[in-house]
Amino acid sequence: MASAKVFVLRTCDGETFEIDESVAYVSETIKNMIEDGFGHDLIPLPNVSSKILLKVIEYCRKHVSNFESSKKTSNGDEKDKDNDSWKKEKEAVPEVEKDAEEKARVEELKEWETTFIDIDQQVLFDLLQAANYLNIKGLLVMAAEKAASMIRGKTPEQIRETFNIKNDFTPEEYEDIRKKDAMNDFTPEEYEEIRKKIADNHFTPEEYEQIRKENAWAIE
Amino acid sequence: MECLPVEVIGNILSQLGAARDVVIASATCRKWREAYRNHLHTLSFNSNDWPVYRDVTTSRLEIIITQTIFQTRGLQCLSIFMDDVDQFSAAPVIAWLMYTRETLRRLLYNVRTTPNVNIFEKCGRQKLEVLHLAHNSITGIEPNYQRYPCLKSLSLSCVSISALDLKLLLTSCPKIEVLSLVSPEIAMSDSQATMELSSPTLKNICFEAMSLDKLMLEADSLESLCLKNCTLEFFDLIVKGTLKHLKMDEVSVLHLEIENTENLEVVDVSSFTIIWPKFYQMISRSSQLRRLRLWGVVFDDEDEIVDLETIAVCFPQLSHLSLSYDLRDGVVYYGLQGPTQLENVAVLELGWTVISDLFSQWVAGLLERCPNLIKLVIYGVVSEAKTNEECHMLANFTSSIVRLMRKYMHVEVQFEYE
Repeated sequence: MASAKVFVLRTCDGETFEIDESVAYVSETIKNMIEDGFGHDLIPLPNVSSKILLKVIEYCRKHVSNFESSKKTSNGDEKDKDNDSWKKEKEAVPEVEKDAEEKARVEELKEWETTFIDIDQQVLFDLLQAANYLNIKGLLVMAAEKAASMIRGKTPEQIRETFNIKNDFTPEEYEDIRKKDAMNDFTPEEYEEIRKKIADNHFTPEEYEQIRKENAWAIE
Repeated sequence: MECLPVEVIGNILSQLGAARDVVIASATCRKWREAYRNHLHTLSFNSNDWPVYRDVTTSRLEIIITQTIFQTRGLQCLSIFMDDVDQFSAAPVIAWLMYTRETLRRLLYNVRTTPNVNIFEKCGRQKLEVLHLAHNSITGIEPNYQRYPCLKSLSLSCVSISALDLKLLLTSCPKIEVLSLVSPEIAMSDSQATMELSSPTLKNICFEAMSLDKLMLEADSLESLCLKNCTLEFFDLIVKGTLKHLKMDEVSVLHLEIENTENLEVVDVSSFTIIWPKFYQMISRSSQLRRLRLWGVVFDDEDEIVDLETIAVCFPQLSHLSLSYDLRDGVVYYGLQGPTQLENVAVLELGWTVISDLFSQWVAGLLERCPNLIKLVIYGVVSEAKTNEECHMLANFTSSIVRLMRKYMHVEVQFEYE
């Protein structure tokens, strides 16, 4: 077998990392850069720090080795490669029963993923950004699912607290929403009531009420 | 969080999937609201997501779903799976389908519509890749005008469709790979219930709760076939040597014809009446067979036996063997004759429905033939009201297994009783 090609990536903080071609190709962005002829020298990644790139490379290496071992067991599943979020829906077509080796591989991968994504919030967001920029679908889905798990079951205010989000609807936006939907006719007393209830919420009361009404079925 | 691009937020919201969670999250700030409106690609209304769905009237639910879908743009995956809803009216359902027509790739829908809506016709065709439909009907397929160039996976559950339409439907899906039919209501044109299906691309087929006089299936690329709870008088399967997995559970077939079985890897047959010589002839050329399961099978001819010698000779790659059927003296004695070992069998699963001494003998005989066995699983059926005799039998059986396994200390033993 011909020796695998190696590429060098440089992060925004000046560090370089060497990776095999198969690992590099997990990133669509890097793959395109190489195919466009930019692989001979360093491949600069100005948007990615070393800390995060290490994590990304760890993912890519696992992805490659997992794919290789799934090919060996004769019913290796292409679906696993894509880490499809649609799996959540009821599996309409029964999956062909995997043999013991395949089952073990899938179990091990799940465990690895759980450990891999057990990271603090800031690292998670940086990873999301990096996965988006480097266009690594599986990593993006895994990280997005982790973020989603932190959102599920929370109220808007709780979500804002968790992620330190500033509520920032402007008066203009409110006006726009109000014009589009003329169902808005509370008394000043009602406005005041609502305003008190949502004291630190930067939506204007009318605006929040509008949104709340429209989506009352979910928020109430 | 501020520096995450809005499309990444869209990804996160899409992972949330459940509509209520998405809407709540979208009320946090501008960017999240924009992500919901312009970058959400997956949305799901599932009665399991939120108990309040059950308390809401159907018309209110229609409004909720409409309002939520219409605030998005570019939805790719839509799932409306509501077991408690009797039926939706046609107008909102049509609205949902038409609104998402240009971008929809996956649709999952299981609620009756009244008057009936031809979902298959109304939903976007150009990009649709996966369609799971239940409790609806499909009519008037016109393959010349209607093509589904990207459809890969089709699942129809309790759907009424004519045999002809189903045949035409497959021809209008040039890339279809997975087909699942569960409890279909097949309208037949003539008195005989016949179905002829043909697809060069189908890889994975599953039929459940189907009853036909005659089924002819031609699938050159078929890799996996699963039949469950089907009654077929005549089943002719034409494949081109790609078939790897064959599974039949509670199937009654009088005439079974399957050609080109050389590459079969898994054969799993349960609760099936077998004409063993014929069945065996069908699979005898499958030298690549890795897993063989004959569970709760009844032999058409009482004198038929499954002899291990033939299995050992014809299936040298066999690694997983599961057998459970009525044992008679002849079965145990003649079935175990022969010198050839099952060299590669690592897992052995043996089951009884009525405990007897014969079973212990059978287990012993099989263990001798599997020199490289790693695991033995014994499945037993234990009746609720146990007579003294049964308890005695079970006790004897336990003792004999303990004695037996002392000779095979390296083999892991598991028991599963029901």
